[in-house]
Amino acid sequence: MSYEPSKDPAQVHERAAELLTRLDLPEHPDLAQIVSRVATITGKHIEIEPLGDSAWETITGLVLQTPASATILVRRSDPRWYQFHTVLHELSHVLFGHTGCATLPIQHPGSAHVRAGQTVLARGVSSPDFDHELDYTDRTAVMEAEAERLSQLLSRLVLQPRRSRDEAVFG
Amino acid sequence: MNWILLFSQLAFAVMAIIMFIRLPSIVREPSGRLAWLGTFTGSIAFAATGAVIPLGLLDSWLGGSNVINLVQNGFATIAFWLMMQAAMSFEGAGVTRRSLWELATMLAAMTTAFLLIPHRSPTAVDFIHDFGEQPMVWVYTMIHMGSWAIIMVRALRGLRGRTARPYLIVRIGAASIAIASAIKMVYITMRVLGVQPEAGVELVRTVFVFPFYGGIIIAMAGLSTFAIAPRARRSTLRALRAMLLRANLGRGFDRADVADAGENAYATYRLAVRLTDIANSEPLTRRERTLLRTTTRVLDRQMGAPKIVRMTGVPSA
Repeated sequence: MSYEPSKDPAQVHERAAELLTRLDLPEHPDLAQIVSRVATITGKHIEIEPLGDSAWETITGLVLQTPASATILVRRSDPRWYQFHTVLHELSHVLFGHTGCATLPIQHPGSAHVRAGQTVLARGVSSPDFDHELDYTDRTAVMEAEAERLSQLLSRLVLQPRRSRDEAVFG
Repeated sequence: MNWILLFSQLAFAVMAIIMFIRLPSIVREPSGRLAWLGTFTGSIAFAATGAVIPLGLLDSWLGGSNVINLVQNGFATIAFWLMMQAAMSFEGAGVTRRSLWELATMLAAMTTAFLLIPHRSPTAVDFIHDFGEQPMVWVYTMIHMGSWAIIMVRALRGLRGRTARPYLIVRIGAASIAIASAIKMVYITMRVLGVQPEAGVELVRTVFVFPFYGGIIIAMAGLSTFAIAPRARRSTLRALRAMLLRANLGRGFDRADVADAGENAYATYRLAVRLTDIANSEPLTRRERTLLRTTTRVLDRQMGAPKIVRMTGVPSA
């Protein structure tokens, strides 16, 4: 499948919404269900691995991809909700079909996990969801914005107040 | 001092406050209506004990033959039944025609038994104690106390599998009310059988008071948590959202970027992600770092993000 970056904010939103519909998730899915659905839709074997620490500096997560697999590495020193967001962001790259071509700085600890034939996408800390500032001719920035948008939609399904049902009945 | 009256006044005030603060949410959320109605009927039951208008005056309006006691117990039965139905709604059970018939049967049985009591005057603060030697008072008491015990046992069953901490308190309260109802049935049976010594029988009556009223206090306290917690959380998240937005705005962020985030919890999460992103590339002020730490604590506690562990997804057919 050839990938063409979105041309404007409306297309980013539209594509993210389409992929969410395609995932056909239950109303309140858990992360394992999302991972399983992404694997089924993309036909890729997906692995998630919390790794790394603050030595990862400006990269909060990575996805290493081959045509048959995607390995997502997350910085485990981050807060739980931030790691979760990073995983969803990387899964969104896989769903969008972003293969990436970025290479990590050779001194980056994440580069030790890259194998021959894998492409790398790293969730950096630029401003991927700043629709109004995004340069839509910058392919990498658009890919980040797309992944960020879909991860926002996915996180909304999972993150619910812990006692939402109890509070609905008794609160 | 009349502790029971004092408690009834307090319970009435607390229930009235809960009813008032929950009013907007039950308009939006139909699943909260059973428990709200339970609070409403419970407050009527407490008002009927003389908590608001003197008992003698209330009963005089109804003929001065302790009909007010039937009103108290009738509304208490409806309140307990509504709370039980709310608890059972977790298992997807709606209010069925059968359960409505059960409630109607309980109310009809206790009303019939009450009306068949030969001597019901004058107005008494403790009707069952003052008139307890009559067999029909025994029937009347056995019916409504038996109904309450059954309702509480069902409510406990409905709460099975609910893991939120306040339910521990609610369960203790419901179990106490069930035990108290059983104690009251033992007491009235001793009265009608003329068991001696009288002091022993009165001791059983006194024992009823603590688990019954204590159980109601405990259960109400547990359930109130569910009404208070989301409101407290909303205030906290509103404050965090405003502070996070301020921190983000100075760094190329636009209000429009979070305009579609909806409720405060989710907007706070998105803003916190953004500020954490920024923290990876530029130093935050001390105040901003504190803000992020506080937000992390609040989000970890309230939003339930899953722990990220090693995980595999395999394509299925």
